[in-house]
Amino acid sequence: MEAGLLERLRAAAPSLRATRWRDRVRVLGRVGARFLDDDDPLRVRALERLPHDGGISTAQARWVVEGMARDWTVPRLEALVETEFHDPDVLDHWVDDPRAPEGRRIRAFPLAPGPALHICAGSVPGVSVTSLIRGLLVGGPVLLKPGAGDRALPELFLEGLESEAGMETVARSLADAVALADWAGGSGSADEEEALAGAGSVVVYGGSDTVAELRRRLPPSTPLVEYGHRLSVAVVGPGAREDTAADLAGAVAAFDQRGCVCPHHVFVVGDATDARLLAEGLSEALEGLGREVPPGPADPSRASAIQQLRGTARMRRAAGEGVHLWEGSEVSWTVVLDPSAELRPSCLGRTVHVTPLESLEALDGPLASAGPFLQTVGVAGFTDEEGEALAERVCRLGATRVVPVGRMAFPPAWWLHDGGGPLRRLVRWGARGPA
Amino acid sequence: MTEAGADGFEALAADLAQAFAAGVATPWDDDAFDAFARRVFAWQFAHNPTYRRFCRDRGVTPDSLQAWTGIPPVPTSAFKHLDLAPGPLEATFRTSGTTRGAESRGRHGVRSLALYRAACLPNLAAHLVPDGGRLRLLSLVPPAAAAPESSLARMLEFAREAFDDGRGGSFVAPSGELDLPGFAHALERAVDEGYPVWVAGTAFAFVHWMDGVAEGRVGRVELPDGSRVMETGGFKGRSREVPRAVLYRGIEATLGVSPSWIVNEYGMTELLSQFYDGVAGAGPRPEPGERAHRPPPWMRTRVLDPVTLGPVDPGEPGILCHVDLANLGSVAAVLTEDRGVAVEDGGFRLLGRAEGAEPRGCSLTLEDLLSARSAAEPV
Repeated sequence: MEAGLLERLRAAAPSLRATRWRDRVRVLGRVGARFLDDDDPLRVRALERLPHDGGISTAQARWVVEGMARDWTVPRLEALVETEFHDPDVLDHWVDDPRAPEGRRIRAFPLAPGPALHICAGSVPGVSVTSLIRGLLVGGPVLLKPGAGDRALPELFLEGLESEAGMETVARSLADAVALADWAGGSGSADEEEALAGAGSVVVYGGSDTVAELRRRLPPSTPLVEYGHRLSVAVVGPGAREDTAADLAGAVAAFDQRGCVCPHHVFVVGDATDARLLAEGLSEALEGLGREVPPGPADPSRASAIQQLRGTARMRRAAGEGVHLWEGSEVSWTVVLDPSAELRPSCLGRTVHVTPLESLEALDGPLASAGPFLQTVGVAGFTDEEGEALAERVCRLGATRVVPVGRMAFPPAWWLHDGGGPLRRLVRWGARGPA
Repeated sequence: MTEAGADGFEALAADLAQAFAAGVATPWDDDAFDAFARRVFAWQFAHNPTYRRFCRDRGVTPDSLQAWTGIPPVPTSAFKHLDLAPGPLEATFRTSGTTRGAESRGRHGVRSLALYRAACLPNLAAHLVPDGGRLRLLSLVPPAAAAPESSLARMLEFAREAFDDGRGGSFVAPSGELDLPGFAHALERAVDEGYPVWVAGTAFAFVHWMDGVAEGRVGRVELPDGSRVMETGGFKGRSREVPRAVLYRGIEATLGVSPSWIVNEYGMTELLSQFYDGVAGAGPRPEPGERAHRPPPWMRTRVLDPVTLGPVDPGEPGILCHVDLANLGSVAAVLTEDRGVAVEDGGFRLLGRAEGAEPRGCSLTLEDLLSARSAAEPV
């Protein structure tokens, strides 16, 4: 980590604090929109670098950039801020809070004084940029450690911000208030120690071990916002349309299933034939999608896990367990029809289980085992009334997002990320009043 | 009731045991291995309906089999879901499953412990007791009576019967904890008597021993010349992980056994034969990470491309697929997730599993979920 980086970010805080949220949205959204412009060199370079950086195909890179950068634009960022805060001006100055019985004035501050350290341990391209945008929107400096496999987009985004900085002061303030850091993984490195000790707050994306280790090492007074690994599923009802399989295939194939929003398991409310038809349709759709958006290069450990899964599925089929297997060439995609109602986390790489369930009530068994890890539940083929009951059921079990299967993979900027407002989790409220 | 041996198992097992008894020094030529492998495959095809359907689905039957390399391998994960050994069983071994939930433990039914013994002993003798005679076996693995589902415990029971001088023992308390004082006492006695010992244990057990010495709970010893160590297995979250070279230096420092007298055994519950990375006391050997494991003559290993399951080019890494004829009672061809590189003479250098090497997303893994479940289970 560059010497004096934290000090520089601390020094940038007053200038950033003096900017208004609408201006921050305007500048950040302007940079973000460049990733959607075919002729813009930022987008061109992003598409060049992403396949290598993120281990994804060129077509997947285009898909991911479009899906992610759509939410980095002015209208979407405005919607984010306005959804998060009853009166968004609370980010800029003290405002009246007439809902309080005796009245009061409130103001939203960054979670803690001092730069927020955002540690993105995962590798879903775009997550790092989304995270830094959120941090800047609430008005605090950000030190970002991007995930392995997600370096190109934040580097280019900061480059875009820097190029805006020559033109206006708000952009200058933003560019000065964000920096990328990297240190050789492993806990205990001097850089990491320095960053953890100097951070006002920490936002972490990572697995249980990463989060637990961080929690152990941070001073108790440092607020920690955790985004642990999550698991998503889809539930398909009797009213599913023909395009459900295609929608599902898209949700499975996005990010080659690395995203926590991508389904691992599809539950079909119906009989074995319904599940089989869905599995067949999903297989065809994955094969077709694979031609348009091929998977990234197969990693040996993932390929090995997929071979274990496939071989075991074949053995279970031979044992008369009613298991069926559909597979693409090499390890491009895999669908396993598995009648046992047990949640099966996928080994990823476009690998999904399909299981018939007699009723929505039967979801409790498999989903309860995922409990707090459960995130998005994609649904298709239910009436509004059934959908509401389904949402109630799965959210009681731990899910935090219930959407049509076709919308699973790219949640909007204002989604309740793991059940919390993405900006509200980054602020601390100040209140001034009679009581 | 079926008469014992009526299905031909006993006769084939006896033939195999006789062939194993010739020892590991003389390799079997390709034809000899292929002939036995065909007999084993034909028996499994005939008597294991699940495996028969699996092979038929793959288009392979005993009649169509071109060579042993065409025997369809069963993945190790299938051992977690299915009972793969038909017929009456004398034991069922289970994988340890220390970091995963109980539901993910693999199980391997053993129809003949005598055949298991026949596969273990010549291999053990050649690598751990090449000088013959009796040693004192000090084991850091529970006795087989206390751990009937442990294939390692059973193997060491065979070793105790064959090689121990009658004064060795297992130094694991009923609670499963290592009995460090008892072990230290046995070591001191061997030192006093000048009697060479064979210490056998898992890597994590040796780490606990080394930690005990470092913390002053037990004292280091300098074991008599000719003492040797067999270490096996991984760490599996049961102790701090240490690189093998560091482990060996620690063993040398705390037991006085030099790395040339330390042998690694690579075995797995799903296989009834084992691989060793050298012969105890056979002179200087490569650094631990550079040592190659070699199979006994009745076992062959192929290194496969995990994407295509075809053989890799020589010298390229891949996943290991073993054919173990001692697995007569279950499935002989087993596809693992272990990575390695082939070396000369049918051996391989282990690279371990590449877990976590790839870019990870934010999606939950089976490992995460099972860890959470097992953490929530009462111990």
